[in-house]
Amino acid sequence: MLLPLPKRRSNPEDNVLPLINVVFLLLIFFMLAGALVQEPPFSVTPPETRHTASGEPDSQYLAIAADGRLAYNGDIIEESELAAHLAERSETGAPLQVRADNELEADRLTRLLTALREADVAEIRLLTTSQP
Amino acid sequence: MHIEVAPRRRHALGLTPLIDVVFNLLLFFMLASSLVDWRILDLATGSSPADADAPPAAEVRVTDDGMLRYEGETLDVPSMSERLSKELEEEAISAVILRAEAGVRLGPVVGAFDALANSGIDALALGESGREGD
Repeated sequence: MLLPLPKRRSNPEDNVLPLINVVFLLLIFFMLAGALVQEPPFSVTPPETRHTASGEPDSQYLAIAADGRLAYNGDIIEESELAAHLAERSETGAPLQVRADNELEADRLTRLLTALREADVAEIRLLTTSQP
Repeated sequence: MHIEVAPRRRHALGLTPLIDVVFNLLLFFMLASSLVDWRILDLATGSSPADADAPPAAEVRVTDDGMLRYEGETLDVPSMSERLSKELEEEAISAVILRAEAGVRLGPVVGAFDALANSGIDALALGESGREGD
């Protein structure tokens, strides 16, 4: 039996098409699945919870490092400047997302909650990750 | 005069510039976006003023190893949530306030808060630890 030999591809660009397909799919995946939120300027390891619902991170958030440093929307700020920054929020009074480090002293957060209440923030959303 | 006609290109659109752009976009989105599965824990910043006739709130302290201390008794989270649920049902207490002991990190406090909230204790708040021993 004689099988015909596969035809040689004449156009070298034809070989690139599968690559483009894969790259394009990867691009769409990362565009849709990833969230483009500015990361805080210090490393924050969020605490883990088991029962909370998942949510999307906001572009406006307060980050607290393990040593108590604060950052608002990615810029390091002092605690005294916090009220002024919060007053510039687009929806004042809406829940504020907070990314606090796992190793932060819990008391530091509760003292900050008091400061936030005085800045008209009734509720915070603490961002956590799910416990495996 | 004879002018040579340029040979027609077979492809009207070159693929190479397209691939370059798509590849750059891919790299950008891979590096800039984060794929973390975030969870949200809602915390109230202030408690509503307590009703004078209402039973008092239970003040539960979280110790460093994640145990809960209430009225001199130290229990783990499931046993404590059982006890607090019972007292809430009997209306011996009206709410539960979690206070961290001095130096306790956020991790165990958030874990205890999450577990208590999940076991049906709705009137739950984080409190400043303030004075020790109350």
